[in-house]
Amino acid sequence: MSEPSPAFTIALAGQPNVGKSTVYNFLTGEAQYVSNWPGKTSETRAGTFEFEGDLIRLVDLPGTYSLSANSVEEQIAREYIIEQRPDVLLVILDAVTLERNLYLVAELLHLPVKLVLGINRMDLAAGQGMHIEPQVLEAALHVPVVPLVAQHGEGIREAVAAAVRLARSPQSWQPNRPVIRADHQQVLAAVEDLIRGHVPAHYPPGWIAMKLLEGDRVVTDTMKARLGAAWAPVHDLLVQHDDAFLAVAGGRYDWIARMVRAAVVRPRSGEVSQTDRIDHIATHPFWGVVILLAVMAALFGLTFALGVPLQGWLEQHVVQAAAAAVPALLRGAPDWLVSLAAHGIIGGVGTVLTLLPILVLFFAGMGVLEDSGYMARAAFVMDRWMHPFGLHGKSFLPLSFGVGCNVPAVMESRIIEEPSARRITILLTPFVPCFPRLSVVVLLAPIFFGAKALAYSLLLFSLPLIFIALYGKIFHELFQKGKHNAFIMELPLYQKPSARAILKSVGARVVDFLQGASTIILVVSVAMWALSYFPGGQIESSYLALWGRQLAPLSRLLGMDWQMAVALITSMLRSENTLSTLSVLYGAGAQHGLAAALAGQIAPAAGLAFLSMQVLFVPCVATLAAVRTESKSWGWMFAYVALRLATALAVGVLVYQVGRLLGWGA
Amino acid sequence: MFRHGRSKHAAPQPIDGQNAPVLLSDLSAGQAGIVLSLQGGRHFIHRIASLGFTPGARVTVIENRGSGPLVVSLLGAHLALGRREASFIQVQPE
Repeated sequence: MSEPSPAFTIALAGQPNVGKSTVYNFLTGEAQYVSNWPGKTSETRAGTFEFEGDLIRLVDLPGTYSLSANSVEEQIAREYIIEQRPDVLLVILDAVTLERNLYLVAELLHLPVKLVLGINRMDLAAGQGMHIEPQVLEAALHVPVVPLVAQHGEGIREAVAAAVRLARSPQSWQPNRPVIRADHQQVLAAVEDLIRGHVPAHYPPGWIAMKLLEGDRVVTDTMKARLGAAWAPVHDLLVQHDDAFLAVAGGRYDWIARMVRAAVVRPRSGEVSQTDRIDHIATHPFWGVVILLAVMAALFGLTFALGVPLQGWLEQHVVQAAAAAVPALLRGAPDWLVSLAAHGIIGGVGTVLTLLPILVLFFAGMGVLEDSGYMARAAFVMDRWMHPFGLHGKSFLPLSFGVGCNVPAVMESRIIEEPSARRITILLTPFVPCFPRLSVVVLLAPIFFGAKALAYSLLLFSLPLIFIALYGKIFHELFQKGKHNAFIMELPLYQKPSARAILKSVGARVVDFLQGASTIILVVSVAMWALSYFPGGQIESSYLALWGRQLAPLSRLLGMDWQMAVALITSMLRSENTLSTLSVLYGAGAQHGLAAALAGQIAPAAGLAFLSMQVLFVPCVATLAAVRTESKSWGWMFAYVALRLATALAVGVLVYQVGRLLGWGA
Repeated sequence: MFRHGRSKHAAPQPIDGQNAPVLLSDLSAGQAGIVLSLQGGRHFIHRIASLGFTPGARVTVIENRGSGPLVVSLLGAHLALGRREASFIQVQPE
């Protein structure tokens, strides 16, 4: 199938979190979610739309603060622009931070591409007392400028119309470009002379020379390789001017100040805004933490209070009802097929289904916190507590998502710029026990510890946190060798969360979960079913039980019988499987029967060892799949499984043996 | 109205009688300063210079609790800045 070829290609560029994705979704109709958190689009996407009879290809470039190759995103964006040459680049700018956003424009004006500027969030800027005159800015820059309120779709069609006009009349492109300071102009010309004839195809020599002067690592390496022996004179010249970057950046900001002088009027500085007043408390080292704890407790409490009953209802009325209907539907089929359908397939699909209410509620709550701008403050407050582990405030977001579900939480680690810090976050996040994992502790603790259940539960909940701290420290020393990660983060203005944005964020995260988890959950569910069914059709005589009994010697060290070992292994499919496996293996009818079946059988030391392992054990397969995807490495994933297994075993043995010495073993 | 200009001289030298240069992390909440110079390595300097921390830029400290990160205002926007990052920026207090 071949599509009609598009008349024009328009690419969207802009700094992170300026509303590019909103414009993209408005035009192409795709539901990529947008958060009030910088940096969601990490790769280019493309779609098409029709505009006044023309098919237009729209490319969404990753958000970048500048075009220096400081990050992968910046490199992707500039390589696309130079090598693919879109007809027009629609640059989305945030009105509130217009000057900083124009820095990217100052850089883009040196590339062989025509620009249209869309100034987004004009309404928010007006609310801040800012006054912006787009036509005055347009006159200063000689670049089309269109005001936007992308959230409401205002101005987007006008911006596209301006882009199409520009694409149709290339001769009208006569922009006012920033000029480099006089003393550096000579150096720039000298560098340009030296590299002439060695510049890669498509690349403007003047731009390459400027990037060399700026000390851009990628361009420097490329040119070094291309010039060979001829690099030496260029190198000498650059060394003499190695402070040029600051002059270049400063020159751009001087130019920006001149461009906006007549077009932008800001309110008197010193006026305390609503955001400032809230932030004075929300970023306070003590009260900020109190607020954060209260907000998180409310979110977890609500999710638990509403989600768990819903989950139970779905389990009883949908999953179990479906499983019960299978024998009638498959009348005449062999027993194994009925069992496969009822337990393997419906069990797997049911797992996915019953997890959804909790996920949706939790993500909706997180969506409100993100879209209002609060999560950036949470990251700010947590920053000082994350530094000992080589992380900074931004890592708090994935970690806090982990309580809902580790799968999207691991994916959330993309917001961290530095690869090593990102990897540490990917490895630490699954230590956060998710709701299902916690629910096992909540349900079993009263059976094991009776009246002391609450104290033991709190002890067990703190265990993963201790290991997050411990491994954070170790990973920091291993991967970063004490290197420091800069914490620089925009604090967006508070805004009223929009229902649409929240729905979209919930939708996208649920899709993340379904794509990342559903297939693997189903496959493993069927595999687990097979292991627990064959050869005899009974779990007590199955391969799983057979192998479980082999674990007996290990089990003695841990004070648990083979049933409990098998229950732990099945938790890898789904964290709360521990409960259903125990029910089956101990011959308890339903979960209510589990208390009776286990009562008096398990000594406190063994119970504590078992639950310690439960909270530290290898995370579920869906999380492991996410670890693999995000770390882009099977090796890391298997190393991680080994680490978690070793940790859980070591802690289990230690807890049981110490517990026995203290006389809790009886 | 807030003047849009930047300081005329890229890096004003301290004159006798004026405030001596300090680190941005030493400014207290409400104080403003003009950026004089940046430390902390090329990569870091690139990153923050492109955010607007260039010599001559005016920065206002919004929150500084003596430990932990700072909130600063630059070019009309609020940024969170780690204490260590703020200590790499030398400013001339106003």
